[in-house]
Amino acid sequence: MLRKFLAVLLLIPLPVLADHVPTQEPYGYEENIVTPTDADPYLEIKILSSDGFEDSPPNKYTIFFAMATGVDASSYCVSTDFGHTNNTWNTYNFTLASLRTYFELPVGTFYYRVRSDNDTDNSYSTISAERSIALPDQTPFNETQTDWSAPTTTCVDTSTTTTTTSSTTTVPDTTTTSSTTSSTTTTSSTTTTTSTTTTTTTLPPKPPEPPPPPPEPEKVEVVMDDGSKAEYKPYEVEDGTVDRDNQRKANEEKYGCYMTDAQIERGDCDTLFKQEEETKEEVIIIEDEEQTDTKEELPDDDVVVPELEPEDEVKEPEPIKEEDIVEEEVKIDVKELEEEFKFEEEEIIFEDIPEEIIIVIEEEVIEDELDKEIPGDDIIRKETIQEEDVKDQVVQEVEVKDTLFKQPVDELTEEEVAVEVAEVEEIIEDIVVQEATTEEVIEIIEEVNDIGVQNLDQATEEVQEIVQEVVKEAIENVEDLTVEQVAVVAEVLQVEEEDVEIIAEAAKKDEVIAEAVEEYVERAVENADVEDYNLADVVTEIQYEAFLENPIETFVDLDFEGITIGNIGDDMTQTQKEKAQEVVVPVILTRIATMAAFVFRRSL
Amino acid sequence: MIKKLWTWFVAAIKETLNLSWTLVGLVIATLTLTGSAQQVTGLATIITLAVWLLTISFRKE
Repeated sequence: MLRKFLAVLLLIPLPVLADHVPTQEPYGYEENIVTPTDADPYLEIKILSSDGFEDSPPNKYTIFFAMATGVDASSYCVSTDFGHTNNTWNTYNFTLASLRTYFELPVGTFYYRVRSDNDTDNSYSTISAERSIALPDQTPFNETQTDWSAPTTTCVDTSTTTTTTSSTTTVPDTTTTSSTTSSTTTTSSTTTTTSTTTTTTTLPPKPPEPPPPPPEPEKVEVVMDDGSKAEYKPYEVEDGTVDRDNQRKANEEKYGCYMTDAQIERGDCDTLFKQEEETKEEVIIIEDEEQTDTKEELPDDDVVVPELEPEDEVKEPEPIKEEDIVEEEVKIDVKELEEEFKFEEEEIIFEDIPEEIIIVIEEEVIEDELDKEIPGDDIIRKETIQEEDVKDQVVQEVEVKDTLFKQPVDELTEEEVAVEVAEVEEIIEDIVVQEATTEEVIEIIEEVNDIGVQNLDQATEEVQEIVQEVVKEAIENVEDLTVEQVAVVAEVLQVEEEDVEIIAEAAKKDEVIAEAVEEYVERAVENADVEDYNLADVVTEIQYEAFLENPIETFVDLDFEGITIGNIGDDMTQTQKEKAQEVVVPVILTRIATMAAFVFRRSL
Repeated sequence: MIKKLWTWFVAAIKETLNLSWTLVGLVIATLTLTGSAQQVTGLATIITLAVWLLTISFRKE
């Protein structure tokens, strides 16, 4: 009994031991609007310091704030000039002047969260739960200012203090925590003394100045295939630009299309496409003629062929039916067969060889399929359509082009990939990612989708980095994207369309997801040989790396804010869930099997 | 008292070793999950392991 009691007691120390972290959150918060009679109203935030038993008591507190809910570590923030004093209330004041530094009209609800910082030990507490207070819609809080612009930067990391500004505010020392000032306070305000509160505002560090651009490489004179001379940069000679230009010139002369061979093969050249169509028509006719030649070899089919030809020529192409498959009987002399294959009678004895062997030849249906998919290539049909609807013809041509020349990404040849990569490079040549419009971002991603993100290994590192930035930009601004654009982003990340929004949301809260989005392109290129490599793989990789780096932190760095039983797993993407299933289910099954084996062994 | 603690410590290591494969699976599962599911799984793993190890003698009775 005593042992059982001890076992129960042993459960208790867990939360007790976890009570003190290196740097604790404040023990309490209070917020008030103070309205002194002889000064402007101000917002007072009171912080109750912890008991000081932690290893790294805070030497300052950082207050993150906003005029809308959703305050996080990237919101505006200020740092207090006071730190930890055992179980004591300290006050930080937001004057109207300081609030108007951040907000044009500081009226409405003010939200804030507090974090305890020990910069000396580089130790920070968890950020507190969000608290709020309504700022009164009365003078002077509702004053507007005309020459105001919102700060473009926010306080991201308070450990890197770069600028310190101070403001002086007159605060009566007899002020109470009341939001309304009574007449008795007025009396007491006659004995006010002036105290100065120094405000330390932390601003993010200035971005480093970009390095000076490298000097332009000297140009090299190259003799082109047509004998002309042209100037190129050395890297253009190496990356095949000269070859492609030669191809373009040659193709322009041949087909009137200034395109590379790969583009021509892909069907980008309309002129050539038309020529090919005409050639195909001729081929079909020749094939029909060739069929008639088989009459000599297959004397019995002379009835069938004349029936087929008019059907193909005159009637509309119809779906292939089983009856259309023509069975042809060919008589073959057994002796000829024996001579041809030199059968050895000792080894193989054919007992019941029929005098006639019937070989059933199924007529090739390629031609009919072609007719079905490409109605435009039939002469008779073409004439009819031309009179009917020109628009329809254009659509058909596009469809035909797609059918004939569009290949899956996996089947692109190296040369085609090189051309596509060159196209991507061309698009991103002059782009500044941060200033790019949504359409530009999507255009680049579409181009990347054409070749497959894993084929970007053929592009330069700069291109990969820019594509990476573009993908990140798209995820950050996912709310601005249309449904079609979201689909494009989903394709590049190899995830479901509905997952894109989840990823964007998760990236804001979860550093691992944010890092995964940031490194997706780089890792996808590195894992070009891995099939179906997607963002879930990158997330898992990064989590493993973080675990190997710091195993304990992975399990104890917990934040259960906003998690309820009902929404567990809602913030996971479908691909991530599938990946987890692939792992968790075998683990459970293996465990069950192990236990079953153990029980079975004991029973023996 | 120290002897009892030592005995428990040795038993806890044995139990943990017995659970090695399960723990490997759970760690992998935790690292494969993200967001709230990861947090819940991770915490549940740690708490369950702690309870398991703290109740060794209780379970063996």
